[in-house]
Amino acid sequence: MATTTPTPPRTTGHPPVLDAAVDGHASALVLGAVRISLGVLWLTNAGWKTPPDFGQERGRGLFAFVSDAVDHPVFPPWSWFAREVILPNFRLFGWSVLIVEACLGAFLLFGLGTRFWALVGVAQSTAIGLSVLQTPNEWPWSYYLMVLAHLAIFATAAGRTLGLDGVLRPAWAARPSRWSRLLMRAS
Amino acid sequence: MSRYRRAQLVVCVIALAFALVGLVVARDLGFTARRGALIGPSDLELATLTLNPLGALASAAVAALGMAGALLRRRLLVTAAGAGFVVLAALVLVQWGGPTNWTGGRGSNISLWLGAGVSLLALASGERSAGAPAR
Repeated sequence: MATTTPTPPRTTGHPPVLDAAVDGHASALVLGAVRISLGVLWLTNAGWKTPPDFGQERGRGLFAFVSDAVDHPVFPPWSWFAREVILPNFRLFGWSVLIVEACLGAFLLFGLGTRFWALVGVAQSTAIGLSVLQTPNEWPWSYYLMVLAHLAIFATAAGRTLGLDGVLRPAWAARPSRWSRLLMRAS
Repeated sequence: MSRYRRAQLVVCVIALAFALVGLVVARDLGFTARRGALIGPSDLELATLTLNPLGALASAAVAALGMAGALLRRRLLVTAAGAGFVVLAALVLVQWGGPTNWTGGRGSNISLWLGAGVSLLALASGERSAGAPAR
């Protein structure tokens, strides 16, 4: 009687839940679309944070949103931080927001260092939410969804599908430098 | 075509598409107008880059350089295009909001051009370490 050796299960080194999420063209397309959409979200919103005063002189733009953290407090420690640290140094804060959001748009759009930038996106979305959740006419769920969408592309390493992380990871893996190891973790 | 060159082409085609649309929407502006014409519908919160004719031509030229590098397998051209996009992004960062803004760009331009530039530089570097012949 012939005996058959059972075929070992295919393993990719990922937890099963991640395999289920990234297998298949449809899943890859959706993950890529979510990542690209988040990139476009930040890219469009980098467009109205205008230096050098970022809306301070006319009480508009980024300055108005930061003022909301003080005028309509969501989380008292954050309101204190906005009043005592951010507003007295508002121009420096404005430049840092512009640069961070421009980088978020740049790297999420092309899928480069996606997991790192997804975490930055979580932090930035949380900071925005803590500033405006209690502001009249805001929709709090938009900020909850922003946080969740960034967590989703972090958890699924969405730059490896339709992104440059997927193209470049083999080259980074073959290079034994600290920088390459860092990029592997960030992607 | 290698995956590196395909990715280089995709990055350049995206940048070129924005530049060509910019040429159309900015046709009535001054060549170096400080505020460029907007690409995308602002009422749908999909407003992206702003470009004047100089900004559109410059970004189209850099994108074309990168495409030529990808098609002709000239890594140096791809690297030059990557550096060109980073310079364009830096130019907007320095000039936006001031009296002079050569490209007519804003924060969204910084985002797209920085992404395209760093992507092309990373792809050229990755291609080199993957052992493609240097040209």
